[in-house]
Amino acid sequence: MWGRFATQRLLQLIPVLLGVSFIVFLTMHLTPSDPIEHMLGQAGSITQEQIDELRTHYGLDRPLILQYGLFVGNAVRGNFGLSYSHHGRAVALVVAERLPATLELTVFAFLIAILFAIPAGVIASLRPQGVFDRVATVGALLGISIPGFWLGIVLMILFGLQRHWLPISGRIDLGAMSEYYTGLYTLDALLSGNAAAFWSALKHMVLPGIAMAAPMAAMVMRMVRSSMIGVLGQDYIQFARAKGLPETMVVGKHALRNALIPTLNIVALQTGLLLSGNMIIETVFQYPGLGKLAVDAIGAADYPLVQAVVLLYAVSYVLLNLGADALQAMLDPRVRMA
Amino acid sequence: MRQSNRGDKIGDGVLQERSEQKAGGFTRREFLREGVRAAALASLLPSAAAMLASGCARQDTGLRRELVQGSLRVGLDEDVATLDPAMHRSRTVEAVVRNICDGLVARNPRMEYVPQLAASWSVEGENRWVFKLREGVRFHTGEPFTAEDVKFTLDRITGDIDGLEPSPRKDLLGPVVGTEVIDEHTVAVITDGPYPILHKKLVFQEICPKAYFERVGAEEFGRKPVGTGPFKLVEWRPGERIVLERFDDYYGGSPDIPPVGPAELAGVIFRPLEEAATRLANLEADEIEVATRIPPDQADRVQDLAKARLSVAQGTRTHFIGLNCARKPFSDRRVREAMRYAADPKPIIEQFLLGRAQALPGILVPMAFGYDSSPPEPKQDVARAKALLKEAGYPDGLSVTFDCEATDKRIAEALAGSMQAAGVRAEVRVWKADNLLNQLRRQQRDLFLTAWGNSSLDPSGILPVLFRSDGYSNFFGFRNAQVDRLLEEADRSLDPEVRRQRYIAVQRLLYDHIPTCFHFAVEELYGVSDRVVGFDARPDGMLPMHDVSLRAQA
Repeated sequence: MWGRFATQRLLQLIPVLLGVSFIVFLTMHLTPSDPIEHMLGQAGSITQEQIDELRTHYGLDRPLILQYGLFVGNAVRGNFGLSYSHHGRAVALVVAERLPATLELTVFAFLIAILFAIPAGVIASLRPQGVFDRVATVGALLGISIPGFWLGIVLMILFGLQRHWLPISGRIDLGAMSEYYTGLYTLDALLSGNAAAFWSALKHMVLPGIAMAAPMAAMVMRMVRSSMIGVLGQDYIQFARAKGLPETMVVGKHALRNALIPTLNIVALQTGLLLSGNMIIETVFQYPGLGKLAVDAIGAADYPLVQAVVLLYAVSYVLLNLGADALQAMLDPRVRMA
Repeated sequence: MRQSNRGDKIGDGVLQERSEQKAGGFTRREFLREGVRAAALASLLPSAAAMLASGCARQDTGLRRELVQGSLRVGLDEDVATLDPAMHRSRTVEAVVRNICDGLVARNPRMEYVPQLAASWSVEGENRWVFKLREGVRFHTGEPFTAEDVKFTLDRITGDIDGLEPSPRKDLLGPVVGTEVIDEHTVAVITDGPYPILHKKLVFQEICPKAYFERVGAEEFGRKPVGTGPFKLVEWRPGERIVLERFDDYYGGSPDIPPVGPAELAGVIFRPLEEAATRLANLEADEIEVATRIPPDQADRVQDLAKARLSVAQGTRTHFIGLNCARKPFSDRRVREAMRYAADPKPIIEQFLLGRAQALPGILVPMAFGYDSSPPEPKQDVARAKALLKEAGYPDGLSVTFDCEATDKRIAEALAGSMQAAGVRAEVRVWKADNLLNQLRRQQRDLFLTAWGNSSLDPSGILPVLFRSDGYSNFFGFRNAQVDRLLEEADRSLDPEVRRQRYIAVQRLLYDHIPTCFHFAVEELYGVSDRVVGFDARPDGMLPMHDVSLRAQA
């Protein structure tokens, strides 16, 4: 049954990816951008032959439908073509280079959001309209409504410039680490037993991590709070209290676990949004990840690179939702039986 | 999903509480506990591996620490996509690569041409340039630099080597048709007809080692280029940093740019920091020592910094208003002249560029060879503009679309506002840079604000491109047989005085026919820490670090 569930959902990926890739392909080609013009830049006396030569090299002189067909055919075989803006390097390589940075930052931001949001949501739910709840509500409102780039800049000014507590750009101090295995710097630092490098990599993620985590933390906190309030009013909670269980048990075990089930979907959705949020945050903090790569690729009309990154985002989004559904089914028998 | 069978056993859906209690095989609680345990185990594996690895892992060497501490850190305004000297069209890549690879010819800080890897050169006949190469020069790999490397470098750019991606720098080399190795240290370059400025064009090409390139291939070479330059590449982490280390066996560089010898700095670290605000913040936080290309409106912030200064250079890029001479309404010379007087350059340069620009009579900057200073200073003259418009049949003024790219939007809007007094109602329309360029090349726009760079500072790099009837970037539908003839003569003459006169004549004709007006060149502004000695912004945007040093941290 699990097998069928997973297979079904994974098969659903195919039309999603085809649709996404076709829309991206079409919109990118409909805009009057020209990757070759971009590649050659403005200065100089470029000749038409030179432009044609490059156009042929990258297959841009073929009919659109053929270009799309070739793209899909190659993509199925794991070949995403050559990046125009990276001078003919394989797209897969360019993406692979930037992926670890984004993965690391996203996981870090995810942890910040969850570790902050769940306790805060629980505490707020214990005394609705209490002081903590009101403060948290205002905080959540700010978290949702403050744009990420602004929050990022404010954090930079406060903690990077006024107080030199935290680094404001990059991934690690220069010279802190010389050995790379996975590209996940914290992990690499652990692997080479280099505590200083681990600490440095972690410090570099704090400000972008917070800026990225803020909207997710706010949403999750609100969700935990409201479902906790719902659960705490249930009969079985009263029953648990009546049979004399300590309040920590009642809240921590009986209420929280049940409140977390509806929260899961929000967490999955928000994690997907973290991925898109990193386009802005990575640009502000000059963090060399996938989001910044995507922004640059769009600017350069680098069709293959944009395609690959968007597909990667789409796959992760679908898989996240699949994961959330699976987890929910695991935790909640009603979902599974339905 | 390992517990697919068990999943069906637990909890019959009546009460969730039930599953909290032990119900036969595998309860949810147990499942969760097991899951956590498995996850913990999985996360321990790498750290266990780490424990094993740390035993044999090499710690950072002392050299690296010395390199980091003795390095100058530069915040670049643009990321680099390659470090292959032949495969880019980016000034930033050129500025980085120039520290790794030397060229045959270089420019000193006053923008004069001096021999670098070439010891001397001479022109034989009309079109055969013979370069004597410096001897005893070695690449970072230890291999000697020879005429074969020069031939290989130039042949790769002209496309004479099969099986390689075409170089986007081909046109920067001029009409080179062949190269010839004469002996180990002599090479001849043949051009298609006389080409007096070949040496000026060679500053844009850096010499690559043939043997190394053939060993590693094009892709790897773009990642790990090797040259004869003062610094060698140690590490490039894309998007993050490029680390260069002093090359101790450096031959010393051009004797015309003293001091001669290995570089003083232990290394140079380039970091792409595209946002100007981020660059400045990093300069302020002592994370970098040089911040390139500060926008004029943030120049004051640099001056307010206690430990940094603003370094200013004349720009080589001219902004201008272009007019389409082939279409109404600007096909009428009187309307074009009216445009010259319609806008007021002063407040725009003062307010929007904070005085960090210079209004110019034509498209050439004053530093350029053959600059003509005779036309009067550009000035607004509303009455004259109105009169000219009336004469041309627009007594009520003129409504036009004014196209520009996104970065120039504010200036275009200010210009449009300034023109209103003269009766020109210009509606600003903003484009992405390459979109606009595309349309300009097809001569599809009537009135536009754009810019053109000419870092060679020779008119041959800009006038024929923009103003020849068949010029590839003739945006103006501008056709003038006299201009064509003069440009051709200048291109083919080996006598500098003849060239100068032809170019001056062309500039006068352009001033009379007005395909462009309202020219201005924005200054190049760099933020430089007070620790840096011997670095100044350059008009060509290069960042030569050979002669730069760092004061100890205060």
